[in-house]
Amino acid sequence: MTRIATWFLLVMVLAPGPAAAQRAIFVEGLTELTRAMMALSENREQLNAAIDKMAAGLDGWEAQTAGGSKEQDPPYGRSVLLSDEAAAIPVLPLAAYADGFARLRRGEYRDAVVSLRRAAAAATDERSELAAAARLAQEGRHVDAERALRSIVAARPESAVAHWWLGRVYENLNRIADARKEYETVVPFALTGQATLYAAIGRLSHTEGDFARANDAFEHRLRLTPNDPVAHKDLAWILIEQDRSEAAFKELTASVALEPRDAEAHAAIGRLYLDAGRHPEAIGALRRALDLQPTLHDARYALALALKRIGREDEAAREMELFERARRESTEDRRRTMATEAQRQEEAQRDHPR
Amino acid sequence: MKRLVAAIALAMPVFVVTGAAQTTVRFTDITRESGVSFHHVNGASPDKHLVETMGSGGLFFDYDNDGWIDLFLVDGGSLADARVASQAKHRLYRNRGNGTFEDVTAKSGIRHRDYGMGACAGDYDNDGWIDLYVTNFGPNALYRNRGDGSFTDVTAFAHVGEPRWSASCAFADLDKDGDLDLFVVNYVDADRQKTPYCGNAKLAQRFYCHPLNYPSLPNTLYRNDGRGVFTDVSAASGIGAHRGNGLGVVVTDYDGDRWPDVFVANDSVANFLFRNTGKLRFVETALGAGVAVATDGKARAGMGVDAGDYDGDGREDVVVTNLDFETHSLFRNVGDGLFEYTTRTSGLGFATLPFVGFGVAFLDADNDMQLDIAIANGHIMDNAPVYRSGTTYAQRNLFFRNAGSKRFVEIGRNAGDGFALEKVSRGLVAGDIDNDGDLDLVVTNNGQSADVLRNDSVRGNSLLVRAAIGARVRVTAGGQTQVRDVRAGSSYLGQNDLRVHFGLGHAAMADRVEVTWPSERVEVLSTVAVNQIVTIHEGRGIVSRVPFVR
Repeated sequence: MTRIATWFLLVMVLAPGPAAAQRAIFVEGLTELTRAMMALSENREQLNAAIDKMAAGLDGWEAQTAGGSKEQDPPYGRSVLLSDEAAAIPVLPLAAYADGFARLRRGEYRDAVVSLRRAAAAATDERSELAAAARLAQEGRHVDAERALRSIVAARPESAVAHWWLGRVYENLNRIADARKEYETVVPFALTGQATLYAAIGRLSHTEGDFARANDAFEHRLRLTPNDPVAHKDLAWILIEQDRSEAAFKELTASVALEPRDAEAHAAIGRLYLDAGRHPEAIGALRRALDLQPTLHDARYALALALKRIGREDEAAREMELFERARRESTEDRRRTMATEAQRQEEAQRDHPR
Repeated sequence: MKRLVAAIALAMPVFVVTGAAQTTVRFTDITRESGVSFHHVNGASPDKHLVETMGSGGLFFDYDNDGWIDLFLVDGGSLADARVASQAKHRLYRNRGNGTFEDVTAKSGIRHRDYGMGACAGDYDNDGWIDLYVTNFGPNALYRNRGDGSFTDVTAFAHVGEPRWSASCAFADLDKDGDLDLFVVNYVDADRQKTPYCGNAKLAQRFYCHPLNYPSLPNTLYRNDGRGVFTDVSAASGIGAHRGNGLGVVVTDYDGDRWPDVFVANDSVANFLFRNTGKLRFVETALGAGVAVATDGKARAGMGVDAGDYDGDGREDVVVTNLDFETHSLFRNVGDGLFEYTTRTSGLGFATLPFVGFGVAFLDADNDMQLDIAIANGHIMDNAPVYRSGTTYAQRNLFFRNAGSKRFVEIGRNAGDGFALEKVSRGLVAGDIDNDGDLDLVVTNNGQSADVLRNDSVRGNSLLVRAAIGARVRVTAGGQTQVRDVRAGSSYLGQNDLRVHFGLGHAAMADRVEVTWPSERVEVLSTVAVNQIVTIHEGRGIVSRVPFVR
């Protein structure tokens, strides 16, 4: 649970802009609130202090803009609160705070503060139940954790945090569809980090073989984070799998425009050129990929094929040799990993005979 | 940036395809009326022996030389339960001469032993009767065809009892000395008594293990010494130096040097392409030729394989079936010993992504002069939804209609009730069971009944040519030349009809039939009538003509 509180610190980033001081106070208060909300033990003073800070920020803003200002519309701006959609961990409310978070998302800040204060005052054991469930999950007791979390969401369907944890537990139980559904449930509750949730939904839908849903999720994520090169790249992977090479190419070029040092993206562009029979362009992109990441051996194979197709046999042979050596090592690594895992499972089976 | 996108767009023209609406391909499930009643024993057990989910196959061959292809189906067995193992029985079905079959196993002398995997057939002793080789998890068996409807187990005498876990096999005259050698593909070294625990023991989720959990095996090459005896030349030939997880095999002269080469589909390690350099010496060239792995540099779980000239350029291309989320692989032969990975640009990429493929065959199902592709699918995991949400153990099979311009369209859902079946398919072999001039299919299914699918497509004219194994037949008709090799062993654990089939569309005559024999002698026949089965003997031309039954 402490990890979650720490994560929250990372996700609340203030967007630059005018009236930043007031916004900063408000967002700082919100950051402290989310941290306190997820703390293991109830600390009402901490919660109220955070909400007081939010209210102070709000008062300051309203005082500054009383005479009318360009910045009045939208007040504070959703962009302030929702600017970091790529947050690594989504900011989600406990059940009692769901209404307050919903108002924050709608920009109803004054009402939100009132609602959050009411939530902070309400006695609830949700946090301790969540803490217990999270502990079970962290101990690897996923079936027990699932049971605990399901009882929380049954009693408090609006506990987005519980749904999110449940999603994580389902992933560990290899119940992919169930995990995906939980993440879909919490998307509307997320104050920030919706892009992260869409990324998870996309990844799980892909695992399920539901490419239309995966595509939709990755596109959603990209709309929220158009400047995230990884979002472009993830969408590109799934487009490639759907044989949509042109669309994938666009996403990959966008990705390398944002992150020119991404070797994987350059390699993927090279492979698309290779598929298209454009060998000189393929060689260029694949060389770039290998310059950036010489250990990207898979790209060497495509490079060797492209070189061979235009008659540069010696260079092709050199690349092929390097690739072949790496491939053999990689296969042996996989064998060792699998053997170790099988050994581990055999020991586990002896410990947990069924 | 826009210029680059345009470049890619230009290189990948968008084809407007209306295959589903226009399809004339129909396969009807006639299993019940065909007389084939075969239920595969897989011996599935809680121990999850890998062999339980891998078999079994079957083949077409005309064992009684009556001009109608017969059917041999391989049964599995059980490693865990002797009682279950005793229920397994290979079946030999004789074609009654009308496309239906009778079970003649009892008088055939063919016995089940160990755990059956696949089979291939060829006249290894040149006595005019096609013999049978059966691969097993355990020693393989060679059955000599006595010519009276029965077979004799000559494994020990012939020295071909490869004891390791074998999968597919192929007969081919690899040294061009006039008799058939035998290539046996070996899979992995799995312990009969104990299998690793793969999965999650705490959750009691046990799966069949990945092949990399087992040591790989080299393949086996038996040279035919000409007196019914073979010699294991795996080491001397160079074949034995390469360890893989072999499942599928096809013999094809990929580089046009008139020496038959051997492609081996490997499961989860790079495929092999053994280039025949003559005198039974081979060099492994898959990586350099571009068929070892996909262009992403990753090995696929190769299962079944076939070779065929799908783009009409006179060179045989290669299709390989793989695991789900890998896509099956299509390698286009571009000459000079090189292949191009055309899976994504051909239409075989996304369409095969959700499927675990096994049996595969190039065939011209609608006689339109273009090779289509039929693929048998079925997951490895009998608890597939636990392994991966959204997947199923039974899967539908796929039919890719050749739409021209090097593109295929998957029309399985519109290809008749034969392709509507969802089973755990493994083998798929093609042959004209009713001698009506189109290719029918038999699909084997793990732990389930085998299916006989009659081709009821709207069809054009065609020609069936019977020639020696290893012969390359070129037929020119309607301004187009098509190429087929006579081969004994392909797909997954199986073998197609040894007669090669040419769809001829509206052509009323084959202008030219050219046969290149394994001896390199070339024989040319002019103006051959369509819609018949012709038998061609080296140096004697057409020795038999039988009109189709239509």
